[in-house]
Amino acid sequence: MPDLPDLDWSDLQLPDVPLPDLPMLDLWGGPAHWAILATLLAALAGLGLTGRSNRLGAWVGVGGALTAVVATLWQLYTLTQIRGSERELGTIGGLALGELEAPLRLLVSWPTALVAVTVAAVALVVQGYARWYLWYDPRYRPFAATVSLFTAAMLLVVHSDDLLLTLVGWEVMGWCSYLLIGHQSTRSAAARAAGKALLVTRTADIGFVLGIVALATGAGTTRTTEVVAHWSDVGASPTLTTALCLLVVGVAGKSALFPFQDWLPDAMEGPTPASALIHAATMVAAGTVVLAQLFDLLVLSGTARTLLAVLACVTMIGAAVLAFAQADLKRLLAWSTVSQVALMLAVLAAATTVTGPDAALQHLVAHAWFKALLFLTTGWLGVLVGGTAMAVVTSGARRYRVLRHRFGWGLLALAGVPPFVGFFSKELILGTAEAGSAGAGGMASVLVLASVGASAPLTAAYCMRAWLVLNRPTAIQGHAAAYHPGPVDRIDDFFDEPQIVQEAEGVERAEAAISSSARMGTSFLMLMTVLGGLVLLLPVWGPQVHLDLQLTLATLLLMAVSALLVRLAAGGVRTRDAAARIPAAASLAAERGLYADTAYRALVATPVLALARAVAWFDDQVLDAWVRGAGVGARLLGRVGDLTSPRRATPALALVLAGVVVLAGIGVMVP
Amino acid sequence: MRLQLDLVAVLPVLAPVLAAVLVLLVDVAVPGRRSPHLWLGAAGLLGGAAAALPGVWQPAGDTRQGLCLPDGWCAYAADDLTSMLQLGALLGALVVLVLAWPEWSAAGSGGGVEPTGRAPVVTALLLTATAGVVAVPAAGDLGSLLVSLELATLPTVVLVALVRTTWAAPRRARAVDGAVALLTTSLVSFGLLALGAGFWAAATGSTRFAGAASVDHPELLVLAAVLLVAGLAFKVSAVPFHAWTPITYAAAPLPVTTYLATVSKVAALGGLVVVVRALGTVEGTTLLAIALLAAASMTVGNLVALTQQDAVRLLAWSTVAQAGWVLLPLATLSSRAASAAGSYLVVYLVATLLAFVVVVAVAGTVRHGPVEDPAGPAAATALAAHRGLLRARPLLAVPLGLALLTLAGLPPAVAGVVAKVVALRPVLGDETWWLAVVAALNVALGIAVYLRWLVVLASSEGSPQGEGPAAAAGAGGDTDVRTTVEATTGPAVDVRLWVLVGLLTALLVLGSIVPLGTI
Repeated sequence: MPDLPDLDWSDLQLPDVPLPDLPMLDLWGGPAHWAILATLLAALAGLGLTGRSNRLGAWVGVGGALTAVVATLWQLYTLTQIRGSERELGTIGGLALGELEAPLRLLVSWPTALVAVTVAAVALVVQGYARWYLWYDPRYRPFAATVSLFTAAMLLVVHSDDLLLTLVGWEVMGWCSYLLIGHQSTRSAAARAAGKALLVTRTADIGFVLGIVALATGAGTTRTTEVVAHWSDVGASPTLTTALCLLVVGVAGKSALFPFQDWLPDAMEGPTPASALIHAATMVAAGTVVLAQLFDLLVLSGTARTLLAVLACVTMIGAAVLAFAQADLKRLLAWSTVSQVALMLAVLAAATTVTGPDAALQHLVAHAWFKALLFLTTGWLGVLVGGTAMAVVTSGARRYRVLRHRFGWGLLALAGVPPFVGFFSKELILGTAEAGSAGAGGMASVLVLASVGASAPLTAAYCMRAWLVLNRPTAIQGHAAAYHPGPVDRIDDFFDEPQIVQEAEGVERAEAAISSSARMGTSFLMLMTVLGGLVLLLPVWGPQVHLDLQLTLATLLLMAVSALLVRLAAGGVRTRDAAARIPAAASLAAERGLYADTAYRALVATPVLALARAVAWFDDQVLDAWVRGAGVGARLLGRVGDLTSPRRATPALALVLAGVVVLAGIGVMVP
Repeated sequence: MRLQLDLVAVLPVLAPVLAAVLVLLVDVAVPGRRSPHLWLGAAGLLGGAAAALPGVWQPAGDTRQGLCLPDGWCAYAADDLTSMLQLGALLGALVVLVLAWPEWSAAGSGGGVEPTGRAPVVTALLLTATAGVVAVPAAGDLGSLLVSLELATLPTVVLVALVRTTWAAPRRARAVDGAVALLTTSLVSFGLLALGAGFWAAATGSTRFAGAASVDHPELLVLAAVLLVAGLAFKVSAVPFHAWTPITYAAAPLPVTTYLATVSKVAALGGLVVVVRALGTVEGTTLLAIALLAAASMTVGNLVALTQQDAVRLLAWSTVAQAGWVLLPLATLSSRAASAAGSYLVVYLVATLLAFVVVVAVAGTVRHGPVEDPAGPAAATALAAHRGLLRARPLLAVPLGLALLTLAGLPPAVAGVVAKVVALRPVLGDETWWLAVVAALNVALGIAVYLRWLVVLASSEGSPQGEGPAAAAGAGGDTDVRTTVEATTGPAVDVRLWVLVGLLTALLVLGSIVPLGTI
């Protein structure tokens, strides 16, 4: 290895640009309010006001997302004009919760503002895309409204400075994911996947809620900044460790970390725009946002960090391996999301106070761009070829050349090849993990560094595999390549060559299939996979990271080697699918997520159902028996009383006298 | 010794008595007339009520006094609670009078065997009994209490026995049986009362209630109080002094039963309040006896009511159970207890009156013709006669439902709920947990009792008459059934009953909007 100069991230960052001094137009609340309210109102209007008109529903959905984009962009500008670059906003005022303060405030800082822009932009693209993709769906309007609500919830979580608001957004996202995944509710697979997503994430949410309650009650307030300040003053304590571990469990559920990972690949049953939204910008990334907000507490607890690091690393490596073996492009992308989200969370575990949590948010932003691009392009291809199974999409990027750059750039960004956006964010992650393992990060950082290093070639491998399959020359192109016309000098009709005709036809069909707005959205995302790097280079991101160029080179080299190996393995397979070399049993197991579903059923569902039946039996046969017995008993007693009560005057008198004697006795004896 | 009479204050008692005397005089002067007596009686009751009305609004602590001695002690003293009870008793008696109107003003049978009917006698009896009832709560000493209590009881015995001569012989015999049961029980109770009064006088050295601040023999005083309570308890039909209740209620004419179930209770409660107040002034006494009576009454009353098949018998046992509720707050001997018991009694009074009025109305529609039903009153007052009443006569069924809900203490009838809460409050404040638990269990039991009736009202099967001609009409079509139902609903309900139903319902609704006892 040549000795390379050291490089700081700040050397790469863009210089501060003097901005024009525009007036600060804060009409009726801050831009964060506008972004959240616009999407929320779009959701309500989409459900209530659009009647039976898809067109109106689309306008409402797209309009809401557009407003959010404009508002979040404006928010960026307002941040440049504010000293300290942090902005606090109130919402509906505090809640009266007795001793617990709940001011329900929002907080905007540069990282969260940039995440908000990303979320809003991806939501806008998804809305535009869904307008095309689900145009003939009878339930398009509820879909658009749910996407709007989902966006509002995510924006709320991003901007929230209150654990209560975070929880609200968190739970709303859970329900929205259920609705979106189960959109085609007549299909049993979709209904099951939706139910599974809801049950798994909600099970993990038990930990999230308990953690939040523990943190808030300890601090006496639900305001995040004050909670962080309170617990930082207290320092490391068993209570804090417990609370953070519970919180990590909750995050693991939403972000599909091991052992909760299996719901996310199943969520592919939802329509492609929903997958793009869930995978790219919202749901799974929410855990990263929340933990970044609580980062100052996370560094205090070694146990919670180690737990997070172990879960994230296991998930990162395992999901990357599983992604390689999937026989469906969408499922491959889903497992890659599991792996990439684990990467974001791993860096949170590895980071120290010196480096800060910003690398995770930067990767969130980068991941949002390329993952949304890949999903939406896959959906487009799926419409053209009638499915997303690997065998079906073979040569897709060749037959429809308009998809070629979209797939290519997206996969390059996913693999982390310069100069695409994924490269920058992965460099930051590597730098952060290295700084952590060299500094105060301890075991967790070392583990993360090793795992990130190991996952890079794995990611490159499955990206290469997907690319090889997608980019396999078609039969005609193969023939054309094999056929060398002699040096006959003749003027030929261009369109006589079958290869040319096929390409032209492919472009024509692909362009004709999609609407211009949806296509523009994917073009925008494609642009962002390149230009997104500039966003990451903005001088507004947090503490500095030291870059080790040797490590970078070694990683790139490893990636190249693994890509080469995949290329070699793919040789000789008809579809150029390297995964065909995997034994059938292993391939099947990978496709089924290593039978995690069976494990869920055996370990959780069956015992819980058995317990429920037992409780129901106990309630019905034991408790209710008492109640029924009370009814029968009262009736019997009443009949006895009726039969024994005197019918004539004489026994009545005896009763009176006996009563008097008893009462007088009690009256004299007892006091 | 000079007695200061102060007749205006005593007018609530005096007015019915005067009316009774006038009734008898009129009967002597103009024999053979029937309705003037009833009008006179109504006027006397109304006059008494009007005289009692100002007392209701006097400030707490003030009393309207009469029959005072120069040393300041008065044999008659009515504060706001007493006045409220008097007002309730007088108006309740008026309702009974209106209920009994057609029966009492009817001519006797056999055209000359009983030419004048019973109008003057029964009216005078009702008035004197009511005068006694009104006098009891205001009694200032043992003598007044005993005399007024007997005045309130003995005329009712005659009222029970003095049924129409047109009734079938077995029924009349049953009525006499009922009267005998009432008479013997009341006599034994009077004996107990007299004994208790004697002990009281021995323990406190005085026959007056006020001013017994300290006593030499607390055991003796407690014994006296227990005996007094036992003597009064028969009138409120508390277990185990209740045995006469089902016998007499089922045998007596319905209006008289109504009187016994409502107005008579005021006397008993008034007496109990007097005793409890007198005891409350003595330090360190408790009255476990009342708590036991309350618990036993509620439980036995509700349990037995649960199995009754006849509306009147069910109401009789419900009276026993409600007596427990009236006694419940008194077990604590606190000052708030008396007013709690009083407001519960008033709510109970209105609801029970309403239930009885509807039962009378339904019985009137079931009977063919005024009397002479071979099945006797049993078929007319059976619960089965109320089947489907909600469809057939919603204007009767809804008030009855409201009355039953009030007695059960279920929400649409807020008055009943509040009354139960108010009755429970002193017990909870006193932390007598066992009694509170018994009361809570009885709330559930009571709901079961009254819901049984409500279910019958709302059920759609059969005609109001059960196994009458409607069933005989057989399996006709819808129209057939409807016409038979219309044909068998019998005579239209008397206008007077409609007025009573309307007024009492309005009172209950008003009580649910502005509940009594919340102040």
